[in-house]
Amino acid sequence: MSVALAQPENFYQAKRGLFSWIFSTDHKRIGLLYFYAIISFFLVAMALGFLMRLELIAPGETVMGAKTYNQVFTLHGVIMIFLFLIPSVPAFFGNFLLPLMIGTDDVAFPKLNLFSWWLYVLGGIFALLTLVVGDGPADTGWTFYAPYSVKTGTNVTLAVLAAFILGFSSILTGLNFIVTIHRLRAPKMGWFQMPLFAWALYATAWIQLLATPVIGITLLMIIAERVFGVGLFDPSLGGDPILYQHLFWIYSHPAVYIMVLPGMGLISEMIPTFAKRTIFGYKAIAYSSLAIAFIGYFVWGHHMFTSGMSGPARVIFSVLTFLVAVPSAIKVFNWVATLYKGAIDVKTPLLFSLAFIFQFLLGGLTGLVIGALATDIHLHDTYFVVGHFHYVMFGGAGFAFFGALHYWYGKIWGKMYNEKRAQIAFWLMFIGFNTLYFPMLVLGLMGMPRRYYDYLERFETLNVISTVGSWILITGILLMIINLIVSRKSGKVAPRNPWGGTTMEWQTPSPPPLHNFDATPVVPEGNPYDHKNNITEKA
Amino acid sequence: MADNTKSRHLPGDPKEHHIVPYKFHIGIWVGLIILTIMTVLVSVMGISLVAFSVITAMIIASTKAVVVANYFMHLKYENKLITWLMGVTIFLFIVFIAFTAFDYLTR
Repeated sequence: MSVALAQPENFYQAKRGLFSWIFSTDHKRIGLLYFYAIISFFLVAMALGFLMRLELIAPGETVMGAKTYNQVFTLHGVIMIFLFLIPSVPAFFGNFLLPLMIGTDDVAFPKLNLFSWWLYVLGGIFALLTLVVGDGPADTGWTFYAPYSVKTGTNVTLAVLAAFILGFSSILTGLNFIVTIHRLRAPKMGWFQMPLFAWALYATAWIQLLATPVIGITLLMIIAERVFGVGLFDPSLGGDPILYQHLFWIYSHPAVYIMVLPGMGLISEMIPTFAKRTIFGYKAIAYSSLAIAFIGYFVWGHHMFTSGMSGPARVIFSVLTFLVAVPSAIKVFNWVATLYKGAIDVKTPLLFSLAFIFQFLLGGLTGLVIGALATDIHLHDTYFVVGHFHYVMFGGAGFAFFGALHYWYGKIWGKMYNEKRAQIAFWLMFIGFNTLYFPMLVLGLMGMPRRYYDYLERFETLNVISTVGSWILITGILLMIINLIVSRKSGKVAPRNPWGGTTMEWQTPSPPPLHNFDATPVVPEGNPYDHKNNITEKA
Repeated sequence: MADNTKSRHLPGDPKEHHIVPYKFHIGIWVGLIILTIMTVLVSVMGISLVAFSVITAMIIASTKAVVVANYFMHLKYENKLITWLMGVTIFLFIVFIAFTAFDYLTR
């Protein structure tokens, strides 16, 4: 295994005290600040999801009424999207790993990085404030569709302001990564020697930078309409509600790729390590990240097929939507080809990666069903859509996040997690996840509409199955978190490179020293996933 | 500790900065003033252009934007990649406007 060198002081030991964290400009500490905030918000939103499923265990009112249910699903969506999924991988793994992976000592703008974390916290506080002030949290859904969002008495202004501030945090993170990747790569590292996670972050950063301002201005327009009565979206004031949907989805569809692209980057790191093979189609995966980011700008109209948008526009958006499937499929085929004839080592991160491929595939294929104009007319606003996006967002991005948490656990916290407990947690999560969300696809096909606290009796059996699935899933998640917390104390000391990874972050001690490397890191020659470059084998 | 001082000097960094004489910048500024005067003249005197008056104004404005970006914002002396990225951004902005307008015009 790894070399036993005299360990230099790691970044935890370098400075101590609360202020050394919350005012730190070290990318690793900022990454961890993000992590603790993100995982806290995730647990809050998970609890809200649990309550929603509990409400739906039987028809009629069980644990909450209609308005509360509307507020709960809005808050669940806002927190999961803006406070968990969007920042999760770039702001935590990106911050922590990007400088290590490209062999530099920090991101390009460390102070801006700290500022973006503070903006994130501020946005989070605003989102939580909606719970306690005025008429309670918004009941509009996370999309804040006008004209309802202009008229409802609930705390839409505050929730929208929270999303606006969180958008700035996201823009600054994206800007930081673009400059870091252009300017701070190790001197000998060419573009095609960058790890694929860095490529995924790069593609994502451009979406964050170019698409997020659109949602910023749109949300301000909502506030202008609510507070000053400017007629932008409300027809009674001379506005157009479909304009809101255009502006909203111009950002929010590319935002879907902000959520899943970095996750795909994580999968591209884990699969070659556990297949002990060079990744298949390195350039194809790198370019497909850029292609997804680019094509993602042309397809937003597929969220609006039943909104009253014109017929020709709907046809064009439907056709363009199918183009996104191409680069996504390229990635999936390359991952599977990497596994082919590999010396596969089935560890928890690989299990999460395989689950990602399976679930993302289901999410992607159901996406084609609702991307097709004719079928979407029937399935729009049913549970099919809820099932679809949970398969992509949680089954995809979420599982990639948790898999990566195990993969880099040793690098980040310096201890190894307990493999057996982790695998039990994984299987509980996998079974729970599919028990929870697969019935939703069937319920949608049967015609059960989304966003209601109540349903017809004929939908009951599948809803009970789905709710039981949520209990299994939550048990798995809690077991995983307990395992990770306990392993922090009782786990074995992590070597530099526990998995035989080939990228540069494995060259430094676990956890890394303050300035990232204890010796000048060696840029692997040629393909970054060539196992000839494996430092454990050299040692 | 990693030595990153070298990595901080990639193409486009200060040692390669292009130095432009003041005269040149003043020339560009005068050119922009002339274009502004043209915009005013077209709007006042070119009433006979009717629909083309908008197009003419857009062409003049776009020319000014390109000149400002190239010389005042140094795009001309930067890495070609930056120009490409700028182009992609403008292209996407046009897509946002065009697709939304298409929906409105065909509704």
